[in-house]
Amino acid sequence: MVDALGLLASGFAAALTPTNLGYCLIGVTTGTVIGVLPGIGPVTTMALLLPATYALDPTGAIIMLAGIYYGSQYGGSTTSILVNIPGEIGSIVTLLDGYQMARQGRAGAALAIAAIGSFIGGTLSIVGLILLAPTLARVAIAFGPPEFTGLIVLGLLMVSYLGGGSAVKATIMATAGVFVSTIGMDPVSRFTRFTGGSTTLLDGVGLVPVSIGMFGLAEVLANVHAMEAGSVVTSRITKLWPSTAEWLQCRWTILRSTVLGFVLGVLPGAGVVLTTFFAYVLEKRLSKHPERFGHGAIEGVAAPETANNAATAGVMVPLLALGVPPNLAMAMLLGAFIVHGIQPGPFFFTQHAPLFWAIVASMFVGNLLLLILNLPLVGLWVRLLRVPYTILFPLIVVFCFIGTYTQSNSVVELFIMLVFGLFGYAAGKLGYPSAPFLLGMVLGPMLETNLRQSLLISQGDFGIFLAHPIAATLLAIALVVVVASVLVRLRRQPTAA
Amino acid sequence: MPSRSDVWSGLFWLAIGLGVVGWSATFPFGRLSQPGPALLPIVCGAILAVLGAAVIVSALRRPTGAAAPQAPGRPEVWRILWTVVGVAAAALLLERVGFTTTLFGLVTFLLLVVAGRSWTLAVTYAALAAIACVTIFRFILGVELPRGALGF
Repeated sequence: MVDALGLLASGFAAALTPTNLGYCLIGVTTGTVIGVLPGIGPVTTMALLLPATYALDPTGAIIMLAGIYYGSQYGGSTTSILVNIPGEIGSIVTLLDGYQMARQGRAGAALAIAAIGSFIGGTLSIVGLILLAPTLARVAIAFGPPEFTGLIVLGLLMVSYLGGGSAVKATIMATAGVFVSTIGMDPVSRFTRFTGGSTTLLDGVGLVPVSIGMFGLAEVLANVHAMEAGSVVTSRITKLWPSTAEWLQCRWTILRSTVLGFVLGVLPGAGVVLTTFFAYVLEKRLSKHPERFGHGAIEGVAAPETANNAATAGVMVPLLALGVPPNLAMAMLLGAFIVHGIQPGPFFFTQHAPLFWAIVASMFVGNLLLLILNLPLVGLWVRLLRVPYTILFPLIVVFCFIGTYTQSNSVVELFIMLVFGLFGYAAGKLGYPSAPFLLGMVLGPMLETNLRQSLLISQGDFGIFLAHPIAATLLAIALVVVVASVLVRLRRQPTAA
Repeated sequence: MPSRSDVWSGLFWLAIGLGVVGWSATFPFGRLSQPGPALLPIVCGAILAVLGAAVIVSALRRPTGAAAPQAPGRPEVWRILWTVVGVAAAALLLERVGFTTTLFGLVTFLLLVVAGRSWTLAVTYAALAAIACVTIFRFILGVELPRGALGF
């Protein structure tokens, strides 16, 4: 322990040099801006800046690229809360309650709790990284295709049955999302599915145009009545900070979401979306007033924002301890390591101890810089909501337009955005929630790959899911969730006279 | 009176589900030990069809007087249509007339036709928005955007 503290101190000494502090600031600022702008993600930015890091020393390069990644998780919440457009994939869940808070005049509180929850989650999870990295890496290895299949099925069912509203409609949307994810080329056999001969759809339906369409454009269409009302915010804009009661409401939420986000972030392939959904559903389940969720519950913002930042340290674990990047952003980071002649893996902590501790220390510093950067901007962002909606809405449409086009420079994706915008609008009117659809789209490819790999391993025997204890446990929990929800709903229905 | 919107939406999902199952049946199914590309779509289609039917049944069994979703009024419908037309037109013109011109035209159209604002406000705001977007995306972020005949 004393050794670790000494090494951490030397890490801070390295991270706080003017040069490395400068790289950290560039990284987190760029990441925040990228996070705010939908369509341009941290992976693209890291890829664009990777060549620029060749001339830098390894410590500075990794500090900057890592800063872009976790900075983007901070920035993604801003547009989720203000205009119902997820800036980053990790902020999709935030908009469920964040946007409702903004409409109630509580955008400041939502932005503030998102920033502070992100800071606490990001900072505490770094402690987890220091203490638990080698141990958790061994647990991560225990997760194979059957375990991931169980985890994804559980995630999809939880969001359908515990998300509130009609469970049947939510399950329909989740299933539809999984189906849409199968459009294009099958990743295993390369067989094309549901493309109708179109070459554009060979790569499948993009997540960016769908999410921007179903959340951003659909919300604009749903708010056309606000042209007369003047503003989407129907309540007076209140204090910029959460109240004392709201802080107290969120304290355990933030701690639980930190642990959950970090642990799930460790699992390769689990993904930020799954992490934020689990955190949200857990808090809703534990809340004494779950009916508040989806209608502006501050815990509904604190949970996913804390979890997605806690996961940024968690995803470092398989990369640094095993040399296995759990997502595309970490693959970029791995590329940076390799370019500088460094191979992450089991010996990374001993052979490159100064680099490891400098990265860890820079993450502490980076999280603090992000808090300092984002909190003063809360007042500025909230002022945007005072702008009459007739002025604001063209800007939101332009945002959707640019965000979709810049992602792949494809006009077809603009039409996909339009189609899903109309679909999202109609779904909202008819009581079909959009969030499960997006979750289904994100998890569909992982579900299919892991399911097919499991059956390949077991030679077609579905018993593999029962033979693996972790998979069996996850599927059993999924079954309990469904049965319990159905029983509760049946009990609530009025009996015939 | 059953909720008509739920009956229609249930029919929609039932039809989609059956269509997906039918189309997926033309894909290679493989064997259980080596599943082909048909497996997951068929499962999804079957679930959609069953749940679509469940929505219809639930709607038909619901007591009379159950709340139905509010249909948009005529002005709202026109605003929605014009927004869709504006975005579609901008998408079609983007690579022909360039990013800056398209953006300017889209914002002007939305403010004039959808929001019913004045020409002065629409043109001024559109010009500012186009300049800001080009500055951020083309010059600061270095994102390559289409240029029209006039070079911007």
